[in-house]
Formats: sequence, C-alpha cells, structure tokens
Amino acid sequence: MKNSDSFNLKPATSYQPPANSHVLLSIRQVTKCFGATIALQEADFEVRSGEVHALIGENGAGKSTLVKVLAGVFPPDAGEMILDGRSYRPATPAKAQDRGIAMIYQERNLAPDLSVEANIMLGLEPTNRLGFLKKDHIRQQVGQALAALNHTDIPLDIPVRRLGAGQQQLVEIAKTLVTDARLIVFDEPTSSLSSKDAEQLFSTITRLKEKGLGIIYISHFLEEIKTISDCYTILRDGRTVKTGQTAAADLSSLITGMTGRPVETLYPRIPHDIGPPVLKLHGLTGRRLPANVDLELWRGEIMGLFWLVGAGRTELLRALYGLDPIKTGRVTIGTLQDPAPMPNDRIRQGLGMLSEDRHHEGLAQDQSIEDNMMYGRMAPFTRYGLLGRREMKKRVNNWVKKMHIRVRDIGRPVRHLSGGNQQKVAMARLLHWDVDILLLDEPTRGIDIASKTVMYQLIGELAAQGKTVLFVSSYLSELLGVCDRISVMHRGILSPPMDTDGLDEHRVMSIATGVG
Amino acid sequence: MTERTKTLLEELAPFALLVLVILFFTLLVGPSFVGLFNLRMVLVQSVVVMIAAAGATMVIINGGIDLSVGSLLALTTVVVALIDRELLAAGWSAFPAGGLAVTTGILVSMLCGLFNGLSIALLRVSPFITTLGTLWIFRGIALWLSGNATVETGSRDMAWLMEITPVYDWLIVSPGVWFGVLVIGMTFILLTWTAFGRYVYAIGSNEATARLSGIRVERHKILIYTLAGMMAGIAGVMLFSYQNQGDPTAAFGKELYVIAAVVIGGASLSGGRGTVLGSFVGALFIQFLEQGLIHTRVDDHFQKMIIGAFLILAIALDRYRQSKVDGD
Repeated sequence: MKNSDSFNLKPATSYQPPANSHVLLSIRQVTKCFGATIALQEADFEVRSGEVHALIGENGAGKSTLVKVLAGVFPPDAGEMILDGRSYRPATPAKAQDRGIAMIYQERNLAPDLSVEANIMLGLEPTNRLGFLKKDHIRQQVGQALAALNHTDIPLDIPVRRLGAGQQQLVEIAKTLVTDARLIVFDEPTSSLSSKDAEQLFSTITRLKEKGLGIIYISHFLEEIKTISDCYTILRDGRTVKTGQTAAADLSSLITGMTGRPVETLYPRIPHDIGPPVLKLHGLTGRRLPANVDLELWRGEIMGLFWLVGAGRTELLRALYGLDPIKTGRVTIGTLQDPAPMPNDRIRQGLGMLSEDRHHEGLAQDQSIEDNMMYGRMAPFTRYGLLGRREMKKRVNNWVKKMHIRVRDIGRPVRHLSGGNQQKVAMARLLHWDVDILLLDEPTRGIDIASKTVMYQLIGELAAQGKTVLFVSSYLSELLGVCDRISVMHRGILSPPMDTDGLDEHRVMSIATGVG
Repeated sequence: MTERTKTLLEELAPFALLVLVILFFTLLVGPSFVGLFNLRMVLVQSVVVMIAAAGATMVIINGGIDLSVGSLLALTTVVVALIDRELLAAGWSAFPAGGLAVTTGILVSMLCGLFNGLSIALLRVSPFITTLGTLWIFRGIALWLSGNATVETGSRDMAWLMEITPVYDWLIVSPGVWFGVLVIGMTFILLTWTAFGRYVYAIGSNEATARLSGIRVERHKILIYTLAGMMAGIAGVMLFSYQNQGDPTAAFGKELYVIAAVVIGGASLSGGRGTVLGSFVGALFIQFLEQGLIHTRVDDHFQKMIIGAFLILAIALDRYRQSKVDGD
C-alpha cells in the first residue's frame, strides 16, 4: 500500500523554484531545551513560497519540537524566526494562526458531530451584531475554499464523522485556507490513509503549492518524500544536518543522514532453517470476516501477510488468537485443536499476538514500563504468591538493553515513551511470554527507522531460534525484505502463499486490489 | 439508505415514540385520554420538566451534565414563596410582590448555575461530581431557608400560570405552557442560529478542536451552566405556581426525568448531538407515559420502574447509535 510504484504522481525531477517565489519562513539558530535535554540545537532552515519542504529525522531528532516552536506552543530559548520578512515570535498557537501558520496533525482535529461547513468555519464564523450567524456568507466562503481545492463534491451538511479519512483531511485543509494560511505543516498526514487518499492528498498539496503557499511535510515514509517534496532538511539529535534537493537525493543517503551511520541494509537477513508445519488453519470463518481461510505456517519461517484497507486481517488474527469467536473452521497448533480458545489458552499453547493498537489494546498506557512488560507472565518471579520485584526489575532492564529502548526509569508510565519505544515494550512483553508462534499485527507502524531495524533484526533472530512469525503489514517493501513467504489478504480471503525470492511487487499489488 | 434519510429518521424517532405512546394509551384507556381536559393537564404537567430540559439540553450537548436540577427547582419555589409571603405581609399588592419574588427566584437559581459553571470550568471537577455535590448543597439551602417546612404565601396570586383550564379560553392552554414553548423556542434559536449555539455543539463534540479553533471553552461552559440555572429557575417558578407553595422537598429526583427527556429526545450523553425540539418531544413523551400509567391504575412503584426502564433503554440506544457510527 505504501509502495511508491502505486503512486501515479511522477517523482520530483530537477527542482526549479517558481519564478516569483520568495523565502517565506526563515529559521535561524533556533535552540530549545527542556531541563537537561537539548531538543533543538541551532536549527537552521528556510522554506520558500510555492515549495514543499520535507522534514525528516528519527523519533527524538527534534522534528516535533521544531514544529511546536513554529506553531507557537512554546518559544525558542535562542535563535530567531522570520516569516514574510517580519520577525516571528508567536506567543500562543492563536497568534501563530493569525500570522498564517497552519498545522495538520496525524490525528484528525475536527468536531465529529458538526457538519462539514461548521467545521471549516469553526471559530471564524461571521456574525451580525447580535451574534447570529451569517449563513449565506458562511456557505460562500466554504464553497470558495473547497473549490480552491477542486473538491466541491464534498457534501456540506453531513456530520464530518460520516466522511472517509481522506475527505476529513480535506475538510481540515479547507479550514486552513479560510484562515488565510501562508504556510501549512503536515505532520505524518498519510499514516491513516489509503493509497488512493494519499494520492488525492498529493494532488491537493500540489494545488496548494501553485497558490504560493509554503508546505512543510513530515513523514516516516521516505518514498513519499521522494514523490511530493521539492527539497528536504534532515534533523538528527536536534541539529539540522543536511538540506538538499529531493530530486538529487537517494534513499540510502537520506537514511544515513538520519541515523548518522552507514546503513548496509534496511532489512537484516539472518539465515534460518525452516521446518515442518506448526500451525494450520482450515476454512477459518469468523462472524463477518475472515471467510474460509486456509493457511499453514512452518516452523522457523517468517510468513508475511499483506493487506489493503478493509481486508479483514485484524479479524483473522483476533479469531485465531481467541479474541473473537470462530464460526466454522479448524485451527490446529501442533497436534492440538481447541474449538473455543481464549487468549490465555493460546499463550499456553505457544501462540502470542502483538496488537496493532498500542494506544488502547496493546499497552496499558498509564501503567509503568516495567508492569507492561511483565503482564501475563509474572509466575517466574513469584514465590508463595508474592512478587519478587528485584528479579523482575533485572529482567526488565535486560530487555531494555537488548531492544535499545531509550528510557531513564522503568517505573514511568508507558505513555511518555515515543512510538518506537512503546512498540519495543509491547514486543518485549510478547517475547517474555516465550511463545513459539508470534502473530505480529503491524509491528512497525508509526515508528522511526532505527526502531524498525531493531524490529526486523529481532524477527530474524526469532526465526533463527526456531520460532515462527506471522508478520502482518500494509507496507509491502518491509514484507518483501524480511519474510520468506508472503500471502495476500483481500476482503477476508487469503491468497495462496508465494515465495518472496524474486517476487514482483506489481503481482502482489494486483492480488491485493482484487485485480489479479 | 442515504445520509439524509438516516438523519431524518433519527430526528423523527422521538416524535414517533410520542405518537406511539399516545395511541397505545388511547387504545387502553379510551378517547378521554386525548380529550381536551386530559391534553391540557398533560401539557401543564410537562411544563416544569420541559423548561428545565431546555437548559439541560444545552448542558448535555456541551458534553456536561447537571444533576442538581431537582434541588434547584425546590430551592426556587422556596425563595419565591418566602419573598412573596414577606412582601404581601408587608402590604405590597399582588403583582409587584409576585414580580419581585419571581425575579429574585430566577436570579438565585442563575447564581446557583453560575456556581456550577465556575466549579466545573475553573476547578475542573467533573460535571457529574460537581452537580452531585450541588444537588445536596442546593437542597440543604432550601431546607434551611424554609425552616424545614413548606412555605405558604397565603394567596393564590400566581396559580393562574399553571391552571389546567386557562383563565381565558382563547389561550387554549394555560400561560405556563406558552412560557414553556417560548423558552424552548428561544433556546432553539440560540442553538441553531447563533455562533454561541454552534460552540455549544463544538465543545461537546471535540473540546480540543474547539480550543484550537480559538473558542473560549471555559467562558462558554460557565455561561451555559448559568443559563441552565436560569431555566431551572423559570421552571421552578412554574412549579411554585402549580403547587402554590414553596416546598424544599419538591422535585426530588426530577433531574432524572429531565435527563431522560433530553436523551429520549435524541441527545447523546457524550455531547455534540441533540436538539431542543427533541427534548421538548421527550418531555411530552414522559408526561404522556406517566399520565397513561396513572389512568391505567398502575401502582406508583411500577410507574417509577417503567420510567426508569425507558431511561436505560434510551441511553442504550444512544450507545448503540454511537458504536454504529464510530465503527464505520
């Protein structure tokens, strides 16, 4: 799905700034510290009007701090910002908006029950002296904003929650036009979009460019950066280490810039042997999805499951793991067949799952890192029912070291960690259960490159130890890079598995979209 | 089905419920159930809940809740009765005495609403807990002011507001009912046609978004609770006129009727959705239900059980609606 081949936009070739473009925003030597942590150190970069400027860096590199300084959430400790030739030091986010800086976040920032029209004009409504809304005026402005985005097809009176993710994002973008934005910052805008919506977003961004707006684009997906941006700036450890033209850059040099170390390969390949089948699904059917799934997992293999929106892969995993009831079909683990399993049965049978939803299901966000990791298997540490905390701490610290989890205190709540580190905690818990078959649902979603590599390394090591991994992902490149075989899910139906050696990406995509 | 049809059906649902309950009891009880006298009685009896529900609708759409309504109703009747009694005893004539008593009563309830609003918006105590507390505080004040007894004014000067058969036939229904309709109408205009009304919905739908859009969330919350207090005050005046006395023990548990009216009318307790017209129909529904149960001689205990069951059903339906939409 995030395969760059599926984007119909031509990647940016040699970049010429448009004829009358000028420097819109200038960030000079901006520094920001939080106590002892230096989040930004003398950061420098410029955004021109009519330009899409990508901001890339690992988690913790300083991207979100930089963006917050820009958005007026807090002031920098040193350095200056110049917007449209005038000094720019917003005291509040409202002031930043007044100066024309607009933010589009990863999570939608809309009132779901209000209409499209109401959302676009929220806080900006023209009223008469008595406070009554000037409804004609409102409709006109909303119409203009959507026309500028070439999306007059969006119905204005329905509550925004009834729109798809892509259209909701358009509503937010329309709102920035009404506020007369000069510069729009997109923070991970495609993480919950289908590729069709992502393409639509790119068209919209191109249109915004043509109107002379400046765009700052932040994304983990380097293929997207190549497609949509004109130039880029790499942040590493709070510093701006490199700025350049996207057309001239290749992926590995970008990654090297981000991580500061040469990257031999993104996907470490660890040799492992593949043995007899350990898990068999026969005609597995759930309440609605999946539909009659047959699958066989072999010991020591990494099996990839590729899917597009609505394919039913979460339902498959939930049915397999015992979270949802099985309507018909058989699941055989080794020689065991359990007709109505619960998750703790599955764990005992040697099957564990990593949820894709680390915010709600995967981790208890307010509980400590230590507790989260040890949940479900505290038996090794208990004596006469009492918990041996010191032994537990030692085990947790072992995992922290092994998985390069950046944390100072394992007693802190998990919600304070970055996405990548949270995922590592969830993974460590799964490994702590010491299961033989691991179901990983989108294990690298929303995490930085370095953490992803740690995950791939881990998965490879697990296979080498003789464990079996089912790797579910919507990111085709990583599946092709890490897995031995791959199967494609489409509307609840699983394709027969294919060997990844020399597999053609287009073939996979056509099965996934139902064409092939 | 299209989005519009879906929304239309949702909005008509409370009305359909109302028609059903009227039909149901007409079949059971006979045509007298929809005779002029009975209709007038039901309307008059629904006024207090109706007016209080207008304020509660705003509070609930805004994402809050107000459990102190019942106590506020009682407190208002006590204040009105006390002042009316004292002024009449001091020689004032009926109209100015009543006028001042009513104004003071409404002002007091506005202050109570303001107190709710300040605690919720500034102290950031949850609305549920805050109004649970003020439920007791206001009731306590009512009992203290009234000396633990009902307060008689010795006159029936305000009874005309809430008489079942209106004093002038051309009014069709009693003036209290018209006041109720007026309050509902003004709340409707406020919610539908002003920016303030839109912000009531916005804050209830997504407070963070509202804040980021530059809406002064705390200020609006305070204002909304104050308005709700004022409407509870107006409802309290109607209650006083109906009972003809100040009663500190009145309206015990009435807040649940009010909330039930709002939820049956289509509002969601999580905020962001609902209409005051729906609450109006919801209030009527509850009153017709109660009346029907009385006519069919259902015991008072069973009445309460049935009405409580409807409240739970309404909330369950609301949860179901929420999950359907979120799941898409």
